[in-house]
Amino acid sequence: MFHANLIANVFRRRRNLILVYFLALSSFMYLIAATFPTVHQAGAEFMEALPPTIKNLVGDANLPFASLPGYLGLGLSHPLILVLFAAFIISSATQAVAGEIDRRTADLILSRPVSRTYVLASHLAVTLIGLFLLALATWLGVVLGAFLGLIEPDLGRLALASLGLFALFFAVAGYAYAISALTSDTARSNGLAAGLTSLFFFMHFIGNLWDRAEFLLPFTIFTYYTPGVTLEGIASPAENLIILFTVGLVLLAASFTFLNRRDIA
Amino acid sequence: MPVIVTKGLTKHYGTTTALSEVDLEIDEGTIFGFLGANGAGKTTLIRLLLGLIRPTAGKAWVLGKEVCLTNPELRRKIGYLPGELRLYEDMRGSQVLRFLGRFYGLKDTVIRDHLIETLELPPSALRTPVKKYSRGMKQKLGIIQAFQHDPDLLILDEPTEGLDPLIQRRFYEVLRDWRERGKTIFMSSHNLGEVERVCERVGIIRQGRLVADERIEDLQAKLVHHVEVVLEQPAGDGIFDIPGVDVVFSNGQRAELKVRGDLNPLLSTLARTNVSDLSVQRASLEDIFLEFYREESARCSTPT
Repeated sequence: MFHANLIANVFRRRRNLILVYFLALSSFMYLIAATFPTVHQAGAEFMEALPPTIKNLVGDANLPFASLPGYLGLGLSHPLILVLFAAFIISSATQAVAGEIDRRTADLILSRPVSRTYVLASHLAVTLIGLFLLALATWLGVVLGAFLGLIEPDLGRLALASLGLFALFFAVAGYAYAISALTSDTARSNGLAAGLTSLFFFMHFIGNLWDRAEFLLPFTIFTYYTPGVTLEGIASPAENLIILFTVGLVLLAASFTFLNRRDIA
Repeated sequence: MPVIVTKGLTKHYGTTTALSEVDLEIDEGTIFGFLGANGAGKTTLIRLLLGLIRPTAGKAWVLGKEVCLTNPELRRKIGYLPGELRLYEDMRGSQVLRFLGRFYGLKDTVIRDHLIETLELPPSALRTPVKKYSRGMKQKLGIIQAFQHDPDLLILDEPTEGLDPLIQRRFYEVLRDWRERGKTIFMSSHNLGEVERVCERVGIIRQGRLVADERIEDLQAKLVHHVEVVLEQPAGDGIFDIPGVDVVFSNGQRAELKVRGDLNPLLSTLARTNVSDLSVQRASLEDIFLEFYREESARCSTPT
């Protein structure tokens, strides 16, 4: 299913990006952990006074945001985290098919004795390894804070919250790969995938902000990403994880079908 | 044994016909030149043969196997040089060759080393990232990667683009060597002199249709002859008013003519006069090519 030669080639081209993002994400989550004691003492009242609509964005308006789990949940929902993950997944997916065609290197690869399935699977393997490492970076940043004695988080629940982040962007990978498999232009593939991600985020935002738009919530993947709830241990994330992984798997399967049926031109 | 066979091969892109009912059969050990203007369908045919695109109708067989999008093993015995070659710019030359060679499990580098020497790709270039390569160096690397796994069929799209004349000649020798080893070479080219020099058979494609597929000598004999005739005495204006004969130049006594098709009507006319000198030359491949395209451009330029 995978082609070691291709995986090595794709990884060689993505490794610097993965390394930079890994350091940025772990540093950011370390900062979140390190600032908790100060924020907890100085800004607890402010945190609790946040409007429910804003709190809903992190999963649940009833979460105690001044608590460590609530604060870490805020960190894991921070736009910087979401943008870095989205940028990595969307650019990786685009490079897999649309980017190769756009650069005209697809001819070079697909004229070899290797199936399109292997080519896509090899790209996907590197994307998922990268996604795993980035999710691990968010966990390790907090673990470093705990190691230095700044906080005492529940590392098991934290791992589950990071798994939620992995699942959310596994779903993003699903449609980003499907779009890439259907297009031949880097800008178009990036634009469509980023546009769809922004649309889902906007649906989540507006659905939480406005009662009459609540009906949108089940249709956006961000609804199923609830790090605050997971960290507080209010509810099991299993159902949300299953939904996100199912969405990702279905769309990834579709992207293999699209690539195996399309012209490379 | 035919190495390439196509039957009714057709490709449409929406309402545009890129290739129309192409029937082709190329035997083992042939160097086949494929000619056509830009957009005539050369690259479309190559992409169909490699299974990069699906035919709208018809079928193709390469090395005895039917071409389809999902049969990668078919490509194990094919070497391919794309037109407008693009390589991974951040890789060094040696990395590109190793990376592409690994798809074939390539361990023996005898062919690669021989071609590096023949095409004069310096060892320092192999240690340099491809983004620093000149057009010619990239083309040399492209040629080497196509040949390095000792394929039975080479599909080369504009192989000498960017090569200097000296390296072009060496490349022609490589092609002849490979033909002698029983390999088949399918090459598209804009360089008609090159095709005339190295190919024994040529296909001409125009607007997606294969309008000629013959040995070069047969085409030359059949199509156009350049005739130069000197008469002992000036003749009347209408002497060369013969179907298929175009007067390129005439001063009444000396004339340069272009004869399409049968030479005999002209020779019969000349037999009735006193000729002091006569020379007949077969057309170059360029003349033949232009002849096939002349009709089309005349049709396009005629107001309706």
